[in-house]
Amino acid sequence: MTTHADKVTNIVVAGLGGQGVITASDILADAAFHTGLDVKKSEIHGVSQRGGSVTSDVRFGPRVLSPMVPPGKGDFLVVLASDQVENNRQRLRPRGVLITALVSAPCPCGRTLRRMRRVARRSDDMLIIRGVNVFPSQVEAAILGVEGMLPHYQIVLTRDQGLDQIEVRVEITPAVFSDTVRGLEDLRVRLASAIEHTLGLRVVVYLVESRSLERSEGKASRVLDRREGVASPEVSHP
Amino acid sequence: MKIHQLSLFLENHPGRLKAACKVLGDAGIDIVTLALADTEQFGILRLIVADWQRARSALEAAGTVVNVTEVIAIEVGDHPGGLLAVLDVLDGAGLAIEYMYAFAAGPQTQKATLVFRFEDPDAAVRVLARHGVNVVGSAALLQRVEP
Repeated sequence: MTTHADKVTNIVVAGLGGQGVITASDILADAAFHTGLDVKKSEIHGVSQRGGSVTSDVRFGPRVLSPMVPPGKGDFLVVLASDQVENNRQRLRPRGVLITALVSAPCPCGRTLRRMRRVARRSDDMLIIRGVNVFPSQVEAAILGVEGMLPHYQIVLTRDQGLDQIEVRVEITPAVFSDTVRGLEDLRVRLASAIEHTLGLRVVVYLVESRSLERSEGKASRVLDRREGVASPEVSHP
Repeated sequence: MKIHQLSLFLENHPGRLKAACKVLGDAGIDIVTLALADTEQFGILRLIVADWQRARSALEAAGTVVNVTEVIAIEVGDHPGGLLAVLDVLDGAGLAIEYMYAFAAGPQTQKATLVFRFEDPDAAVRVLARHGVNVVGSAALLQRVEP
């Protein structure tokens, strides 16, 4: 999911009294404010002191008029108590992101409060490779910049001695296939330099047979992340 | 005088060559000769077949990327220095060979046939004809293989 610069981002934080709903939304609003955006925030905490429901809306963008997130317009819904998911679900827009993952088991450190799991992954398809932010669409644009190429590619990430390695597999097309080895090596170099120029990262390009890569939209098949310890961090101290 | 050669892109994995040959086999297409160029990542299979148009459609229908190139078959004396004489002519005319391969052995003759790929096949044919080198056309070539 992309957050456009000209659009208002709507976040709803929900939970029970004492869980830190207001604190969470304060932190969010503060962060947005420090990026120079217009921020509006509102809170509902009627019976919070008896452990009742609490929600807080945070809206930020170039210009925000109302402090309330309209029903069904939430981009993100963050829920801190599992019994508060259902009654707040309608605040989310279609394809909005629900963030909720709670651990009820006592923490090894002795605390007995429910804890939120560590953030598992991004909701967009951005990759962080050797500290550089990479969107697969950038790789796609670089490939399409080479004449005769089609957007059929796969990004494979591995880690060698602590360093991320990117391999980009690109399908050969009739328009660019040459009967000479030199012609194909030329193509490989052109693709690699186009991608390197866009990303600022050195990549290894592999030419693969046409129709050999899976055809599907989205992150799953375009990116094969084989780096260890990146995809699924374990629950740790809150 | 020029011959149509089909080139196929193959990934460097076990079974890729077999897959391509199966398509031709199922379509009933006879391979007259072939050569395989290999690199660490991929291979290029170059084929000369009896019916190149039909072979191309069969391969393309199977999802293979096929490239058609014009190559030249040259007859050289099957004796020491036979190829050297032809290379002398090419060298003298400043013609660079992109790649070449030997023809599969046909019936017993005193001649060997070699396939050459030039950047400019027409110029090569002209030079070779001027020096009396025997360039074999595709009809003659097929006849020789399937008498």
